[in-house]
Amino acid sequence: MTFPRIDLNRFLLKLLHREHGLRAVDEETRNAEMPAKAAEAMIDAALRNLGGACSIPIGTIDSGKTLSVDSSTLVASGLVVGATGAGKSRFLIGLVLELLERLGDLSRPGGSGVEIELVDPKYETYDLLRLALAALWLKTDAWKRDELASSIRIIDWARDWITPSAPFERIGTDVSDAYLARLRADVVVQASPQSYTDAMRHGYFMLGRLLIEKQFPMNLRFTTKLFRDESFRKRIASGIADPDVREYFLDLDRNLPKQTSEGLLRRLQEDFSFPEIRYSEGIPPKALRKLLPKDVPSIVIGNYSSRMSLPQSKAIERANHRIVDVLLKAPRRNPRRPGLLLLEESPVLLSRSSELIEPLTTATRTLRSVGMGIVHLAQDFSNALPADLVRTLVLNARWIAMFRVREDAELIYPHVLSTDDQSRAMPEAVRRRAFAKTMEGLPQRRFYFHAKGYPALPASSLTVQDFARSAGVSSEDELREIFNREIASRWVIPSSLAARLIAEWEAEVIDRAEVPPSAPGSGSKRNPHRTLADLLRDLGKDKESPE
Amino acid sequence: MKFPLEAVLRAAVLGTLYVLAAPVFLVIGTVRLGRILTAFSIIGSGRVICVHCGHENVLNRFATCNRCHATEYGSLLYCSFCRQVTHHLACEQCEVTLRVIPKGWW
Repeated sequence: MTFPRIDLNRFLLKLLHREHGLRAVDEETRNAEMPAKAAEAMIDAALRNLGGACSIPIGTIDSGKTLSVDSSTLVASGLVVGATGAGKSRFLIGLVLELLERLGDLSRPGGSGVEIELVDPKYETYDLLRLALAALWLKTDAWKRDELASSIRIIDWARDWITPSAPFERIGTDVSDAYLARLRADVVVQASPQSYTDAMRHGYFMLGRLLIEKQFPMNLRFTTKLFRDESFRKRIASGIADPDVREYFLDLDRNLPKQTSEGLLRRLQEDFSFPEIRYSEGIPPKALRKLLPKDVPSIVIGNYSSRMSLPQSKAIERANHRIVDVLLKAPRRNPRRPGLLLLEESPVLLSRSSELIEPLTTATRTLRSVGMGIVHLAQDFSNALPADLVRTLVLNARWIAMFRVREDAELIYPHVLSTDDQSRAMPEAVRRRAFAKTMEGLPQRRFYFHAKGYPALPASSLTVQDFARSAGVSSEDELREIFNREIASRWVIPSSLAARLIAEWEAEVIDRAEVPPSAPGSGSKRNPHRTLADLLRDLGKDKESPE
Repeated sequence: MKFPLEAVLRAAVLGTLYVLAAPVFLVIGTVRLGRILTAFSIIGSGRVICVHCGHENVLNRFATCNRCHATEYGSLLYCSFCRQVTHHLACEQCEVTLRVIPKGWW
């Protein structure tokens, strides 16, 4: 015998439904009757409160007033969403330049008072920022130019020159070799258009652990010899401190089937057939430390576009390796120095590495404590990424700049104030649809800026000046040349030098080890030289051997 | 006719158990009623203040049910078409989940 179950909540809500419906109608009517002045007063209050001790102008609102936001808000995590050509990149350039102007203090040791890292897989933003920095360099006093140039690092590659990187270099003491190797393996496997079997992925992971332990670069000759030459492998493996990795490579034939290791080698061979990749990732970390400037740069701009000379997957892979580096180093950064990681085309980067999503979402939540924010730029944010990731990123974004969009308009709609009588008179659903339509047709540079706790403000982004004209040079190509000569040259090395360094390393580690280890004692002892005749007989036997 | 001793004993034991359990049900019922009354005082006011950002969320709106997609004027917490009761809602401003109606016994 049981008592009948009564859902009291449902019963009461059903009872009150009519009353709630009437109140909802009242609410809609009240909203429609809200005087336009009240909405405008709210916008004015938001404009006043958004600014702070260090206001950074990011646009102008319809009344002509400047939309300035405190730097503490802007250097927190944010989202910039908009269709292609809507003005996202130029908004970002304007923001970076304003931040550099207001927070950059070149007289302080270490350069600018703000750290900026741009990861651009499509070249356009990288190029714009390059022009902007070249113009800034030209406008800087001659005695300060060197300081400015040394605070900027570029990451780029071409056939004749490359920015070297060492993905298998240890990052601090708190990041385990296994974790770093796992992230690297995941980035490579997920970015690759080729399929990796589980065993192949594990083989790459273990190879990564070995490279990190030995502080070796990724090298095709080394890997080939490691997989195929047992005596060489034993020699390398016996020097490994980590018993896990040592045992794996000592018993490689059982741990990694021959076909799998050959498949892995084929994939590596394909990757290393591109000189840009061979040279940029092949220099040993030890040589790299001597080669690159010791200064810690404040601004790092990375061009990870393929530019028709490389497969896109390799460019994405490199970008994701860089993101891993930044995220793993972030907890040890100076929290008093604000930092921004700008991820252009964020969904393109994130959709190619599921393992990166976890550290990135954690970072979005936690990096605030070390003064660092992550700004994601995307075209179709809601559809390009998994819903839970979108939710996490939106929840942790302190601000959103929404340019011309379709579905993403929903993210900002609840924060939009209706100031005109026509839209306020509309029912909620109609108003929502009308807003979606407005967002779909927003002109270039128009956007809604929403900071948490404030209504969304419609504005136009600041006009980004013609850099060549402002710097007094004839063309943008000239600016690019100045940038490459005065700034980028510090961080790039010619491919010929990279090739020489790699050859030296190969000679040291691979070729020297080619001498087969002494054969184990076979049991037959050589006759001792008891007389001069014995010695001469033996020498006669070996006369064809090299001296 | 035989006296139904077993049935009487069964009813007596069951009755005793209900009497013994009554104070427990009374406590649970009181707590639950208190929580429902608190929830309905909030629902009655028609506004939920976000504990995170302080935003005042309006409960009675022209809204679409997430389950059956029926659109009507009414409370965001109840759909009169599919009788779905929603226990929580997301703050309009910061999207923090706000629990309005308690779920379960406690």
